[in-house]
Amino acid sequence: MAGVSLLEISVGAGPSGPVLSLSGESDLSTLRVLSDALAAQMTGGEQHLSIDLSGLRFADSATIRILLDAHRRLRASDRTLELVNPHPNVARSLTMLGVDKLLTMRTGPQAGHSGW
Amino acid sequence: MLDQRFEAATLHQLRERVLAVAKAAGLQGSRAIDVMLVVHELAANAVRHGPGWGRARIANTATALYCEITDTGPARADGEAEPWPYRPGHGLWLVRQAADQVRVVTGPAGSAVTAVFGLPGGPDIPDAG
Repeated sequence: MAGVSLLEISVGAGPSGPVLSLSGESDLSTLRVLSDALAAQMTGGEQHLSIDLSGLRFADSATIRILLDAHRRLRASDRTLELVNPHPNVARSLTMLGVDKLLTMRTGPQAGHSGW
Repeated sequence: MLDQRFEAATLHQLRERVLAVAKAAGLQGSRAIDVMLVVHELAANAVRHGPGWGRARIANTATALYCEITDTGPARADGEAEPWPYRPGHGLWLVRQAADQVRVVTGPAGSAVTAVFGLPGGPDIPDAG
């Protein structure tokens, strides 16, 4: 089954900056792919990075730690990161870890790159 | 109900089976997800900080689901030598938040962590600390 990846990442443009869309599942085996995709966004000049989680069925604590690290790095250069439309399973983990108190989590049609 | 070895690449298969087992035991919705998450986090610890693989076993009584993750050796030679499963971090925090009870046994033959989930209709499970 070569070429089938547990985690798929795509990059798009949103109204206030780039949008990274994650789909599938993210765990120990996908951390490198996720780190690389986020690292590529660190050097951009745009103010705001959105991570669309609507297609992500599972994210473990290691994945969440990577998202938090990205948030910290962006914040150090006065940029913002938001998590958009987390799947209920993922939202539960994010809430248990208190991530909802550390960064913006948004749900609804206006979030992400819906063209609004 | 489940007896399965795992490594990094097969964690997602383990999750799928654990979720099915949790539902079959009578746990609903987000509680079944909690079981999946807990078993994953403990298995991921074995992969990342232990020998790189381990074994997951799940059994139930009428009142509780017992999820045991074991590894049988020291950390792999090429990897980090941190002791497992006591490594502090988000994963273990999630496990302690989500499971009703967590038991840890370590010894020369490896480690075993058992996460216990009360089943609907059973008594409350005291936190073993």
